[in-house]
Amino acid sequence: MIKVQNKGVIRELARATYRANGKRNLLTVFAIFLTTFLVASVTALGISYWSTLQERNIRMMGMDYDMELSEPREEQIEKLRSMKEIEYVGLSIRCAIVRQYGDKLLDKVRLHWIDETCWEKQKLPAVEYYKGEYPKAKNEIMLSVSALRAMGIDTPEIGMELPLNWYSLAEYAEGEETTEETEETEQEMSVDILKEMTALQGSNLKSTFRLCGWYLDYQNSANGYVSREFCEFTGVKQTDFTKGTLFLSWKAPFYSRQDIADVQNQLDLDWNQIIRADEESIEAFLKIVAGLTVLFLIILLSGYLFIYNTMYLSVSKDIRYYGQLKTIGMTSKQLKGLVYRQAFWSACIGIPAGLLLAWLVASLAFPKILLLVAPGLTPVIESGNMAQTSWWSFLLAGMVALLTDISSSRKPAQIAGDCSPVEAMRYAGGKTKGRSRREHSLSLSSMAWQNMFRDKKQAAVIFLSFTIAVSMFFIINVVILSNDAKHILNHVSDYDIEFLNETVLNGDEPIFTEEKQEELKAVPGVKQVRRIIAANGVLPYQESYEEYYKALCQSRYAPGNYEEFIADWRTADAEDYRYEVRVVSVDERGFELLKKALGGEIDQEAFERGEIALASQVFVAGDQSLVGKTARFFLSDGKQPEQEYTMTIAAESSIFPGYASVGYTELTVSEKWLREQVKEPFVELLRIEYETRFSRETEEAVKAVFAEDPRVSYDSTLEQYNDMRQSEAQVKVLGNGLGIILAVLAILNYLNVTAASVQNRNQEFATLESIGMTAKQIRTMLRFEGIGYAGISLIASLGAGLPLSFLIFRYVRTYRSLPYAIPWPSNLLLFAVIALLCILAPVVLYQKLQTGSMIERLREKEN
Amino acid sequence: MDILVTENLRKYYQTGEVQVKALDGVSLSVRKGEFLAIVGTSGSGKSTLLHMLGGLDVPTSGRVIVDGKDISRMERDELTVFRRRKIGFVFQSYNLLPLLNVYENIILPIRLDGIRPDREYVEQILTALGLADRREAMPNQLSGGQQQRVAMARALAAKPAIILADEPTGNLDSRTSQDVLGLMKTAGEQFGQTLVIITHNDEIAQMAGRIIRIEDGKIYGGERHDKGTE
Ligand SMILES: Nc1ncnc2c1ncn2[C@@H]1O[C@H](COP(=O)(O)OP(=O)(O)O)[C@@H](O)[C@H]1O
Ligand SMILES: [Mg+2]
Repeated sequence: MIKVQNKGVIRELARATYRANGKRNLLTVFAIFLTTFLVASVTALGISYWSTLQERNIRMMGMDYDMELSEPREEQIEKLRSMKEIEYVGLSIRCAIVRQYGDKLLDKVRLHWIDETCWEKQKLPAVEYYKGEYPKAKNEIMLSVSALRAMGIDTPEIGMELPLNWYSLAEYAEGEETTEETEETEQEMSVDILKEMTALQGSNLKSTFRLCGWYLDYQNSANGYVSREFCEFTGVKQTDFTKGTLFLSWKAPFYSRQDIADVQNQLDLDWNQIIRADEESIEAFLKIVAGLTVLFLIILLSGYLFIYNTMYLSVSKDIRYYGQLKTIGMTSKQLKGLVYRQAFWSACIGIPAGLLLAWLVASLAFPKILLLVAPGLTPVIESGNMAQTSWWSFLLAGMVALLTDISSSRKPAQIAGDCSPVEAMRYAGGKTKGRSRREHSLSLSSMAWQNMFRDKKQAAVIFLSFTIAVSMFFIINVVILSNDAKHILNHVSDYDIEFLNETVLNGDEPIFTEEKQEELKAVPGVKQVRRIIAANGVLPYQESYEEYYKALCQSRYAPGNYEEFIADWRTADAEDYRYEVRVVSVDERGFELLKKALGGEIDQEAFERGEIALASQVFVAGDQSLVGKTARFFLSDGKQPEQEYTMTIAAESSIFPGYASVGYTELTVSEKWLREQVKEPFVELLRIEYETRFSRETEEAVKAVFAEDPRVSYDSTLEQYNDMRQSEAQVKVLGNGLGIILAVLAILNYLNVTAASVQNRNQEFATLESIGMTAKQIRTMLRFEGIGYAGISLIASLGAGLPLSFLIFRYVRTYRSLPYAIPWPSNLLLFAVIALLCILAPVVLYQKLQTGSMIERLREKEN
Repeated sequence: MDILVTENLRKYYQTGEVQVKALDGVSLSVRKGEFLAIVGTSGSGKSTLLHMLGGLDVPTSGRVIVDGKDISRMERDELTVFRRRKIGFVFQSYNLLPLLNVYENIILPIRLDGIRPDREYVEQILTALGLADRREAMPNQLSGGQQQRVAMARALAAKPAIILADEPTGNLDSRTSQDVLGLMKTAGEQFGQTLVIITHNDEIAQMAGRIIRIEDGKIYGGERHDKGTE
């Protein structure tokens, strides 16, 4: 009975206290509101950010799948479909190559047929957007935007007619056909088609296709899709070498090495069939989970610090009042209840308001911002393809905010409950029990230093929240850096545009003449024109290449019996194409770049004299068996085809500056040397560097040089950049959004603490002034305090944030060799903002709060 | 020569409908080296007058001239510097700085002026005021009487020309009160300081060269009787 009455009294008292402290409670409500907003928006943005990143990774791969199986047999497909760990099994067959559109030559537009599962579940998640429908009829075709661009079609339309020259990838078309197969198709096909078949075997075929759709993906490769009927027509089988691929999507988000082995054991693989899988799938998944958890904890910690801080400040201000309540007989428990009750009421207002704002930001503002910074994403956003924020993230955020609120009011409640009435009367904020100590130097800076740590908890709150925010800023910066299109492209490609002579290995027509090269050099903004001169040669039998051919015979691309091969080679005549070598040359700049990429010491003079050459193994994972050995070869295109040349191989790598093609052994020599040996130097590639990278004007002028020539295709870094920029913008907006939010939190925390501390010390400032400290000296002291806070926070963040960001960068970078860099301009800007704020805020607040005569200020504390 | 002069000083407080005339036309002059005691009932306006003399409060009307300078016309920082060099103030509520120990509290005004304190003199004061063994203590470890003595030591340490003390012995027993006042008086004589103290203690008032009485913001009596300082 009495207890119930008691409760009523507490409730009444709490209500009265809460009302009386209107302004201060508003601050608590605001803190809870802000924390809820942050947790909710960070959860929402974080989820959206990660799914955007994941999406982008999928898009980079071009397909959403976990494992792939080459050349699948029908019964293998059945078996895999029945496995419960596997969600989707999608089939893809590469069946034809388009070489020409109208009279424009193209650089291999690959046509695939993929089944419905593969299209819907594996390809669609990986495209940025698509229009139209998957081809159904034999003459229907769907093309990637890059393919359309290569054809010169900028505004495609559904139903437009495309006259294309293409050839089938069927194995018999390459001269290894089996008679049974031809007969089988003969029975099925009409006479009309039979005529085409004859042409098909002779390779080039001309048909008019109907464009039934297009899509944008990130692979930046020209390719397209065709109907099942067309695929059957080409005669390519799913079991044909390198043509058929089965894509497997795992049900769980990760799989173990054991899972890979299980799949392998059940399939009875042919000798050349392979399974490609990510052996580190689990590790990758755990890394992501760990990353998200850490991020979430950091935000919670920031929010906790913020709420704790406001509650603590509020209770400290009321401590006299609580002391009085205690003297009139209130128990500690009742006092704690009083604090909790007020915290709960603040939560009741702050949490729903915070959730509402987060929802508004996530669903309204965020897409708008994205549209603003990445207009290219319009189709994605309008199609509703953008990562959606789910309701449960808000529920979670609400709960977390409430928990944070309650747990952060625990300590303040304890302070209120534990205060002794007498102490409460003397409470001076922080250090209540002063211990005697020796004399300090009474300089303004040393007084500022003492003031900074007068309340150690608050100092810790300030340092921690700043350190968290700045460290997060570093981390966000490197995540952005690892997605920075320019940074990546600067690293992966050393040219701005590359022109390829499409007649290479197919007539070798002289297109890149001296005049054309001069024309290119004359374009304003062009810094350098590098050319790759190529000549065909033959390798006579030589022991030094045995290891190399052995590796080649064991590879998937040129499988064969090594013994037979060697036997053939020993007796081969000089014309045998199987032992051809492609000799390409690099000029001085080309050599310089190559040397840099190889990272080794190569004797440039010997290279130019034609004494050493560089070997490449584009199709064989090299064992460096050639390095140091000699290569003997004839130049069939040379002035003296009979002369045998001997060079020492100085390096062997996967880098080949020329146009790579299966079946050729490759050697890189110096241009000076090669020009002297050949009658008519054939330039197969031109690589151009601009004065300013990614310059639009230069690009346009350069492109115009070969615009009319259908035999020239190009590969532009600027176009890749434009494609990558969209996802880069997304990462930037999301990352910066997060960074700004955390920074705002830290700044508010600081302002909150500073305002309270300046207000608390108002009387002290008056005292100082009354005994002779000028306002100027007080401002200087406050500035010292600000410098101290900024300095310590920034040093701590450098110490914690830089190493952390380096570690994280190593995990998130898309290219293994992408160099780590600190974006100093933005970091210095942040440092400057923090320093300025730290230094100015206390002074401004002091000026603002200093009103009235000195006596009034001296007396202030008492009320 | 008059070191402290007030001309028709008024201080009115407006609290709601009621107007309180804390000072109502006070004209007073204090000669250099004089020892003046202000007495009067509680709420009569003594502290208000002392605050005006120290430039801590702004009069409603009238002027305060300290050492020939009209302090009501001074800039804020100018006044602060002037006060720290010329005036030692002992507050009724001590106003010690909680973060500084006893010694630091005492020498802070000197250090703020960028001067090295006269350590020997400070030691002398500490000993005389019975604070020698408490010099490293923090203010909240001291009793009211001890804090009051620290406040007094702070006012004396810089050897200011004027010492203004608001009930400096309010928390001291009468024996200590007399000792402390004796010290102040000796110091005053030694350095030619002017002393103005508010007191309720008759014995202490009798040590002064002149006594003025304030009632309802007005001065009564205060005729100089040449006893004490001169
Ligand atoms: N800030 C103020 N607001 C209103 N009235 C005040 C204020 N300060 C002092 N008073 C009034 O002025 C009168 C004189 O106060 P004070 O000089 O402190 O008296 P004393 O020191 O003689 O006891 C008193 O009536 C007091 O109530
Ligand atoms: Mg008084």
